[in-house]
Amino acid sequence: MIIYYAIILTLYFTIGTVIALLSRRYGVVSTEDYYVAGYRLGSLLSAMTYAATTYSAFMMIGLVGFAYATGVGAFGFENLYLLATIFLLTLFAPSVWRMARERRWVSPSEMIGDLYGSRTLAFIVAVIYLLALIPYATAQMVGIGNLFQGIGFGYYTGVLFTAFIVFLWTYLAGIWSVASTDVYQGLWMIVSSIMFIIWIIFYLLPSNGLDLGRALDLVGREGYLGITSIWSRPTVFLSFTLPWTFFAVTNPQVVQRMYMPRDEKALKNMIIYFALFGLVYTILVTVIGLLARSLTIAGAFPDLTKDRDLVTPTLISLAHPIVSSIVFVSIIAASISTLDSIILTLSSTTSKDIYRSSGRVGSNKMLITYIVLAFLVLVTTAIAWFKPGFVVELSVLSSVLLLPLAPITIVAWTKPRIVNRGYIPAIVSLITGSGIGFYTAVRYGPKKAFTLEFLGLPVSLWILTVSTITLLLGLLVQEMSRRET
Amino acid sequence: MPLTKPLFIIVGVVLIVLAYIIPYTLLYRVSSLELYIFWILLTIVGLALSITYLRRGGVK
Repeated sequence: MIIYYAIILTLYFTIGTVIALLSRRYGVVSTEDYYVAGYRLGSLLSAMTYAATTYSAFMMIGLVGFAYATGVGAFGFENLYLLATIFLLTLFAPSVWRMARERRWVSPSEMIGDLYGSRTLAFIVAVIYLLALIPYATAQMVGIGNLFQGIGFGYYTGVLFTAFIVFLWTYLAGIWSVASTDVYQGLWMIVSSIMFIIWIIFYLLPSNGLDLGRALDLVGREGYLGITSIWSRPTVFLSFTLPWTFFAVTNPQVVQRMYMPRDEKALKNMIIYFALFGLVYTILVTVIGLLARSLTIAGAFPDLTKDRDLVTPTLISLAHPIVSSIVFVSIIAASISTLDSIILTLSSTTSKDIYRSSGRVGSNKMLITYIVLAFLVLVTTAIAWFKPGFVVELSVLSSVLLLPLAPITIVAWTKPRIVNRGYIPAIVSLITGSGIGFYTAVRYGPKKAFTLEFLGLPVSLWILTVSTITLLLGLLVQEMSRRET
Repeated sequence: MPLTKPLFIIVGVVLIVLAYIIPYTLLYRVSSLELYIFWILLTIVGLALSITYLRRGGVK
C-alpha cells in the first residue's frame, strides 16, 4: 500500500514543480511582481488561488469529522463563512482592487498603514499577523507530519517534505508559482473529493447494505440533519462562525489576493468562481461526514465521535490504494496551498513593514525578500519539529486574534478620508481587541478561549464590539477636536 | 428596481441574519434535508445577488 502513496506523492510533487518552473516565464523582476503578480493575474489564477488558499486540510479532515460528530450544523458553520465572504468581497473588493493599484499596495499591513497615515500602525499590524498566522501555518505542517506518520513515512519526513516544497514553490516565482500550483492543487482537491464521494455512494454504502436514500434516512432519524446538542445554544454557533465571517477582511493572505486581478472582469470572475468552488467543496465534504455517520449508525464503521479527526483517515484506509492515495495527496495539497500562500504573504508584510520600517532599506530588495522567506519557512519548520503545545494550540485562535482588524479595515475602506491620520484610535482599538484575545488564550488556553463566554456572549463578539466602539469613539473625538481647531 | 449599494447591503445582511435565525426557529428539529437545503439555497441566492450587483453596474 505504501508504494501507491509514494508513487502518487512523487507524481504530485513532480507535476507541481514543473508547473512552478513554467510559471517563471511570467517574469519576476520586482517585489510587486513577486508578491502581487504586478497586478496582472487572470480570472482562473485569481479564483483558484483564492479558493486553494482559503480551503486548507481542515476541510477534508476537520470538517468531515465535524459533520460526522455534529451533523448538518457543521455545514451551516462553514457555509456562513462562504455567504459572508461572497457578501464582503462583492461589497469591498472592487474599491480595494482600485485603491491597491493606485497606491501600489503590496502587503495588507502596508495598506492599513497607508490608509491611516502611519508606519507604526503598519508595523503593529504586521506583528499581529505573525503572532496569529505562524501558529496557523505551523498547524498545517504538523498536520502533514501526522499524515506521513500515519502511513509509515515518519513525522519528521513529512515536516521536511513540506518545508522543502513550500520554499521551492514560493521561491521559484513568488505569487506566480504559488497561484499556478494553487490551480493545480485546487483541481486535485475538488476532483479527489468527487471521486471519494462516488466511491462511498456506489461502493462503500452498497457493500454495507445501504444506499444514499437509506443512509440519509438513518442520519435524519438520529437527528444529525437538524440542530444537534453541540449547536443547541445559538451562542455556540455564533462563537464558531463569527471569526470566520470576517475572514475575507482580516486574513492578509486573502486580502492581498484582492489586489492581484489584472482587470475588473478578472476580479468579478474571481469572486464568482471562488464562490462556486467553495459551495461545491463544502457540500461534498460535509456529505462525506454525514455518510460516514450513517455507516456508524448501521454498525459498519467504528464510532469515532470522540476522535472525529480520524474519520477521513479511517474511511480512506477502506478504499482501494489508488483512491486512498489520491485523497491522501489531496489533503496534503490543501495544506500546502494554504501554507505557501500564508508564508508568501507574511514574507511581504515582514519585509515591507517590519524590516524596512527599521530604516534598513537595502539596494537589493529581492535578496531581502528571499532571506525573509527562508527565515519564515525555518521558523515554521522549527516550531513544527518541536511542537510546543501552546503555539500549536494557538492555531485554532488565529481568526479570533485577527478579528480586531475587521473594524479598522472596513472603516478605512469605506471612509479613507476620515481615517487618514486617525492612527491613534486605530492603534488603541487594535491593541485592546488583540489584548483581549491573547489574554483569554493565555488565561484559559487557546481551545477553551475559542468558545469561552463572558456574560453569555462569546469572546469573539466581545473582541469585535470593544475594538469597534474604541475605534469609532476615537475617530469621533479626533474629528471633533479637528473641527474645533 | 435597480440593485443599488444600500439595497445590496440590506439584502445581504438579511440573508446572513436568516442563516442564523431560521435554523433555531423553524428548522430546529428536522429529520430530512430541509435545513441543509435551506442553507444551500441561501448561499445560491447570495451568489445570484452578488453576480447581479457586480454585473449590473453596482460597482462604480
